[in-house]
Formats: sequence, structure tokens, C-alpha cells
Amino acid sequence: MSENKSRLQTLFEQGEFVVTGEIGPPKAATGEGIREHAKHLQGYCDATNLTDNQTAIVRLSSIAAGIHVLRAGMEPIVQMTCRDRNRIAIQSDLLGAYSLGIKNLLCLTGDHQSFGNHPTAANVFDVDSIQLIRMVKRMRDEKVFACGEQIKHDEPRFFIGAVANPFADPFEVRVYRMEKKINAGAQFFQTQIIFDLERFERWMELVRERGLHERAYIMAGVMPVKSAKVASYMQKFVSGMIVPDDMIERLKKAENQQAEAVEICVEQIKYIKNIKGVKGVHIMAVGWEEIVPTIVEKAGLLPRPAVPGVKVAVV
Amino acid sequence: MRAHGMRQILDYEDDKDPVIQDHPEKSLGHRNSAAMQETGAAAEDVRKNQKGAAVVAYYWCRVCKIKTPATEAKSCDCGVTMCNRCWGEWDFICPLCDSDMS
Repeated sequence: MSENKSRLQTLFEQGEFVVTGEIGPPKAATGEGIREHAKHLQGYCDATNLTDNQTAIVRLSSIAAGIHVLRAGMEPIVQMTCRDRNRIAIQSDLLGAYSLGIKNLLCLTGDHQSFGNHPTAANVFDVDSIQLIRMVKRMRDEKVFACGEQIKHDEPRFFIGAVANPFADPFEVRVYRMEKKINAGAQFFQTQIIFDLERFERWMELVRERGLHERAYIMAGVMPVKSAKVASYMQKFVSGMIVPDDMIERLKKAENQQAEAVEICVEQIKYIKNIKGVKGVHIMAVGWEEIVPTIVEKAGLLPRPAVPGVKVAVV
Repeated sequence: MRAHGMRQILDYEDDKDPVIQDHPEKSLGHRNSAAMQETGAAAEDVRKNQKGAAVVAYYWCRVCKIKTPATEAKSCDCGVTMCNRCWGEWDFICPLCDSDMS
């Protein structure tokens, strides 16, 4: 039933090197900015992530944002965290999202609320990301809700994604966690932003040793770092990522830091593309979405392949 | 009426001082805060102040890692949250997305 498959899944199955982008919904009740960003990415990215109250800050919902992206003619990857909903709310939202035409889902635990703008809010974490993946898979493949009750018709048939962080400690455990997610039903992965290519390569070696690259599609996360200032901030204050000193130095020495940032990102993509087992890149241009087309073009990833027969529209 | 009847019975049985079962020296709200004893506009003021105090949130500054009242901190759209003192060190320009936070 290829018509049920998303464009993203079809491209992976065709063996294409996939490109995805990311849009952070606004802290306002408007979809205008989202549609604008989606138009920027159209023709350069095969799909785009919509974050779910990222960094625990209240924003327009990821599902609503996904609909805006669909209206702009692009394919959304809706993110779903476990922080704000119990299993009843999650399943209800999944039914709603699929009924409106959303086909890609990225399951993640979510940032703790104490770091967001409602630090005293109650969290939920009724299920964790691995349980969430299993729940979505069971809804799709076994046609049952989490309680075991049958879904009598029109089950949500999501293409299930998950995240992996090769830069968190302990390093050796990261691959086991990834394997758990695959066993639970994850079909594709997007990694944390990669700056330390050496460590990423070591992680990919472990992934290949366990044959995980053949069981799921792995997309490497990249980010164009606008300036040396941004790089320094990320190195010091953003946990879970490694920003090498030489990258900061290179940006500092550059006459035009933004042009250098694009150059570095393009080099990273070209390098990553040749690592065995990597099936795509996920470009996270935080606050600099307009640069994505330039990066994709310079990295030699154009034209993006067409997928005849796959509809991208609100149902 | 029933309490009154009971008091009569007790009086009758042991001829002691009447048993007082309520405490007129304490107001009905004696277990609650002092605000409950206030009446009219004064009570309203006290309650408003209490309400205001209860909703103050604290943000964790990502840079100095100090819990800061929300009124003395700012959160950028991209997610960077800092106290005003740390924002000052970055000239009120978001170090991640370059947004103006002044």
C-alpha cells in the first residue's frame, strides 16, 4: 500500500540520501511563520521536523504546526514528547494527527520542564520514549491501543522515528539504547548535532558492529553555526554536544564568519555522506532557516528526488 | 435547636456550669490565615498579595546556573534562558539565534 507511505519513507526505501530540516513553532497563535519557513525549505528538504514545545517552552502545538507545513505543500515530521501527555492523550493526539494527513512521527522523551518557562509545571512521563515507540508500533501493526483494546478500523500507520545522541556519556551505552529503540519499532533515527566527526565515526563503527544500520535509517544531525560566538556558547553551555576548539578558531579567524559557517557545514555533510550506514542529514538551522537552501545546494544534494504517487496534503 | 436541647439535658443531669460547645472567642476562620479575619477591602488586598506571591516562577539561568525569579530573567524564542545579568554579558543578543533581547 505505497499510497499509505510517507514521502520520507519512500525515499529511504528507494535508497536516496535524504535531507530533512527543522522548524520551531512560534510562541504565538499563528501559522504564518511556519508556512513561510516551509516555503524556504521546499525543494531543498524532503521533510521537516516540527518540535514539540522544545526546551520545555510553550509554543504552538507540533501537530497544528504539521498541518501548516502540509498546507504549504511540504511533508512534516511531527515530534511527540512524553513530558506533557499521558498515554490517553498521546494516543488521542496520534489518531488526530494521522487523520489529518501526518505520516511521520519522531518519538522522544522531551526536555525536563524545570529548564523551560513553566518550571513548576507538573510533568507526566507516563511512558518513556522507548515505550512510546512500542505503543505507536502496536497501534500500527497489531491494531491495538496501549490497553490492548482493538482499533476496529483506520489505525494510524506512522513511519516511526527516534533520536540518538552519540555524544552523551557513557559513550558505549548509546548504541544499546539505540538498539532498544529499534527493537521497540523505530524505523529511522535523527542524531544530535554533530561537530566532532571523529567521535561520530567511532559511534557509527559500533552501530555497524551490531548491524543496526541495516535495521533502521540513520540521519546525521548538522547545524550551520552562524559565528564563533554561537560556537563558544554551545561549547560552554549546551549539554550533550561536543564543539571542537579548532572549529571555533576557524570561525574566529574568518573574515566572513557566516560564509565560513556555511563552508564548515557543507564540508561536514560531504564527509558524513561517505560514512557507511548514514542515509541522510538532518539540518537544524536554529534561527537561520533561510541558509538551508544554500547549504543543500553547495553540498551537492540537489535536485531533490521526486516521489510520484505520494500525496502531501491535509486530509 | 438540638444543641440547645442537649445543653439543657447536661445542665439538668449534673447541675454544673452549662457546657459550652462552641468557641465565640475564635472566629469561624481561625484555622485559616489572618486574611480570613479581615473584612471588606482590607481582606481583598491581603488575598491579592497572597495570590501574586504564589504564582512567581523561577527560571534556571543556563549560564550562571542560578535559580532566578521570572521577572529578572528572559527566555528567547529559540529556547535560551538567562538571568538579566547574564543577558547583559551577551549584550542582550541571543548567543544562539542572534535575536535582540533588550
